[in-house]
Amino acid sequence: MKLKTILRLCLMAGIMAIMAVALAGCGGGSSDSGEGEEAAADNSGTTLKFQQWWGAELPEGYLDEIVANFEAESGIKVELLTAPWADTKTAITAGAANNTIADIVSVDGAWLAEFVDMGILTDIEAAGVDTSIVGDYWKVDGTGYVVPVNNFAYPMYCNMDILEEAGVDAIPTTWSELLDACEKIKAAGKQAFALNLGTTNANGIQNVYGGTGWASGITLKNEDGAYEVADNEGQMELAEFFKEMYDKGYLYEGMATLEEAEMTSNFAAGNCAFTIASAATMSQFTDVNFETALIPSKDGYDGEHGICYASWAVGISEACENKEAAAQFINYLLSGADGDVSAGLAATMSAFPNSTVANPDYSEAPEQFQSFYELYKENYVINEYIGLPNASDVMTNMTNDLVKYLEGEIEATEMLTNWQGYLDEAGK
Amino acid sequence: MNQLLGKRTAPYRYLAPTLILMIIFLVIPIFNVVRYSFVDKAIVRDDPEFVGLDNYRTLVADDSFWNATGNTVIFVIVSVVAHLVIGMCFAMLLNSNYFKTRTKTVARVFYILPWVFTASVVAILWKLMLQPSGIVNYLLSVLPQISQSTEWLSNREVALAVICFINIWCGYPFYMISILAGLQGISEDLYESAAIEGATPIKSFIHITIPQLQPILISIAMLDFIWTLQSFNVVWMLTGGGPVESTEMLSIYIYKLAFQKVDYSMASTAATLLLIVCVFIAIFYVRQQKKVRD
Amino acid sequence: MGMVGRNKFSTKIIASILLVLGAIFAAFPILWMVCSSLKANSAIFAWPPKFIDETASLNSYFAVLSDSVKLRFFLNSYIVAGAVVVVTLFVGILAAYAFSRFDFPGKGIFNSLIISVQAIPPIVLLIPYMGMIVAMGLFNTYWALILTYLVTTLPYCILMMTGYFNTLSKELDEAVMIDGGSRWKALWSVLVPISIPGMVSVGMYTFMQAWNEYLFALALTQTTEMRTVPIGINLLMGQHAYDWSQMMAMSVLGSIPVLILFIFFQKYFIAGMSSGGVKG
Repeated sequence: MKLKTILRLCLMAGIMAIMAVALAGCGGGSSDSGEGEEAAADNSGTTLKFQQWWGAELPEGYLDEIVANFEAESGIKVELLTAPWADTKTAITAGAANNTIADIVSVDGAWLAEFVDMGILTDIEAAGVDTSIVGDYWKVDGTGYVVPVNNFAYPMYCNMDILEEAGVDAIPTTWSELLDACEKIKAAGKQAFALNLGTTNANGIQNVYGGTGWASGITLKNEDGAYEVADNEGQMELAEFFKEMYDKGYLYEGMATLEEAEMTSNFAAGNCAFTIASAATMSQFTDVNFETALIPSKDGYDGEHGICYASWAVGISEACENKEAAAQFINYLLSGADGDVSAGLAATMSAFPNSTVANPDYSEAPEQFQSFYELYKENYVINEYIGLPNASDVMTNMTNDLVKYLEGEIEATEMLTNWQGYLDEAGK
Repeated sequence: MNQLLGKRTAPYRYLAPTLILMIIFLVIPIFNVVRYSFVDKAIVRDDPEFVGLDNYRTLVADDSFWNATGNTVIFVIVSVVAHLVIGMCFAMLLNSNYFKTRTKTVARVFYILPWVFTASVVAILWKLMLQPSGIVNYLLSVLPQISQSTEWLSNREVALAVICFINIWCGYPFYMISILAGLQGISEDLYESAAIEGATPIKSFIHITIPQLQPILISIAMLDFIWTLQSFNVVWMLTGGGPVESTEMLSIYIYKLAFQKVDYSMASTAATLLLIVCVFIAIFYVRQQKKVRD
Repeated sequence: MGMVGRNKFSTKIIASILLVLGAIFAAFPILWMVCSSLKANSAIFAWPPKFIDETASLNSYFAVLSDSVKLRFFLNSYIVAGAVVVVTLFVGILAAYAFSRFDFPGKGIFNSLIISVQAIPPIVLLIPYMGMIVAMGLFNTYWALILTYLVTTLPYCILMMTGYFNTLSKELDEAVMIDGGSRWKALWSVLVPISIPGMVSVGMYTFMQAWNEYLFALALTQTTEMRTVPIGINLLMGQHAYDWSQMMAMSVLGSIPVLILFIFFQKYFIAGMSSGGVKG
């Protein structure tokens, strides 16, 4: 019995010892952010932390290489912190509340207003980011906080095999052509059009529904910049168009819980004819015979098409201790190596660079992207949800109402009035 | 003298590590959470304003809160009851004399499978299986009502039922094991003497099995109740509370408040209410146990 | 449960059918998970769905096993979960001994406290809790996670072990103390060895809890070397697309050790929970 006790105690001691060693040896980095050995003007020797989700989407090691090149050039080390996309906002807000936030954070358009409100972000121009070389940067109340690096457009993908099988000769360019095409596709037994109205990540209302509206110049705001949805004839037509598609069974089943990831995987499997998704997903569709096109516009509309876009954007956290170094890195992303860094990021992800000095070489990109690039140059990008206060909450509410309307529970006027309410109340 | 002192403080000494850990790591944060519920704009501002019971009033006036509460009540009650019933069925199967030991061992491993996998992957797996062009519809398409377009999780009327089903599937192994262990603790003599007196299997189930298992059943029912109230991962990955909030549980409602709306005050308010409910249940349970033992 | 003659046969048939149906109910989704892990990503959404299709390969498994970053996730999870089990059992047994063998003022209150703290949704607890961990300088270390999971698994451990000890007669303790031993000795040399079955069952449950937890692991670790398996799985969920088959593969790989442990400890596990705590 005694021996047993001794053995047991030894076992426990051994385990404790291992844990202690593990703690000492393998404990991860401390919680300091951006502490430098020399606060010299050249900032070399500083370590910055960069919170992003890009690393997982880019080819293996791509981002590490950029960071390594930057270190060689400037002596500033950048540590990459990766969190799953869906939880990056949680990670950033939790970090901000506890002072463990990274120095440079990548920000999605929907989070902008809340981050500024919480005081998480700092003025990027004041920090030294060169905003003269970018096409656009995001401001709230006149101060610039976030600058996009890559812009992703949202084309409409068309599965040419399904179109051919259904007897649709050309990619539809107007709403009535789209309805006709869907009718034929449905008759051929395939799924026609995907609309993702899942609420875990409620971006379908922006990408697909909003995208279809913007393609016909139907916007949420009027010329004065105020939200006008309730008495908006264009919005009413848009709503009725989607209702028609729903009633005729053209919308892909399961839309009420459909998320973007499932929608794109579904298209990649060759199940759906028309899907509106980010240009970045193009690399997945290797097994599908597809084309990219602009979203069909309202019959009789001949103005420019607004193309929905989303961005990979970065900002500097207020808690950052060496903002100049952080700004240096951001400038590098935008204009490093004569703009090649930005150009490379854009070309690799089938995106458009925000930097005006970057000239991406799209010859390696999928040809469908190149053809879309031509279309993109003739039109403009728009996304009215960027910078919207409480964007995720507003979009979720709008999505819920849209589902109710499509399923016939409420009328279009009620839905639009509710939307007007959400938009007006946002952030109050 | 020393011995007397030692004797009196002995229980507290044994309890000390637990108490210290729980006070530092649970009681203090919980206290903070309750504190947040009485202020406005907690955490997001350095200097939150004290608003008394305002948050509670706002919460009680919110329709979504009651919707979430209603869904949660249904979800929890159905889950707990089903866990026990299914757990009981499987446990009885595994405890019966009809099968060889090896069959039972293999069956046990099969039955425990749902418990062994990470909740979020299980949720995604079910989502893939239940989508309109998924395997479930494919296999069930022999039935006339089911086709490639039957919706499960995206249909507001059945979504909650489907979520309950999936939660039951995920959780029953734990209860099955508990009940099985309890069954094995019931002496065979009781059944034999009942059989001699001519009792039918159903009667011996009702009058022997259930009473013997009662303490176990009550314990795990209470634990299940509390654990299911908190259940978040599975439902979030399956539907995110949709469609149109028909599967929104309190845990999801709180998550959205905390991390989508970044309104920690309201989230803390809802959490505090939840905590109060569970404290009552816990006190009730402890009193019950005391009575049973005395 | 005894029954007469011919009825036995037909009930056995029914029981067998139920057994098989039960196995299908439990295992079918798992089968689908394994099949999905063998398919290429694009084949997961193919219609009509097939169990094994042309793209079947072990690529996803190779991708996971050859990625040192992902292997590190597994290592981290094992270290954390293992440590949690050891410390939880140690602390829990002490507390359970107190509840089982003593009557003291405040016993009921502590008991209720321990049970009811399980009810607080971890979501709201996250930020204040994180604040404490950062203040203690434990951010982004194993100890942050160990301590976190410890307090969430302690209540169950205490509940179970208390009930378990309650079924062991006090005379056992007294026998040791009469011989001149201390309570401590009574606990560790007599009660604990008999309670091994109970400890195994609590240990398994604790391991599962620590292994599967996501939210706190996400918030309390920051650098990739410290992440655990649930985060590794979620990292496969990209902004626009998920790597479905790798996710399934990682989940299968993660569950194999637990399954092996279960099979190995089966005999303890079943016996363990019987006289075990749930009787209260």
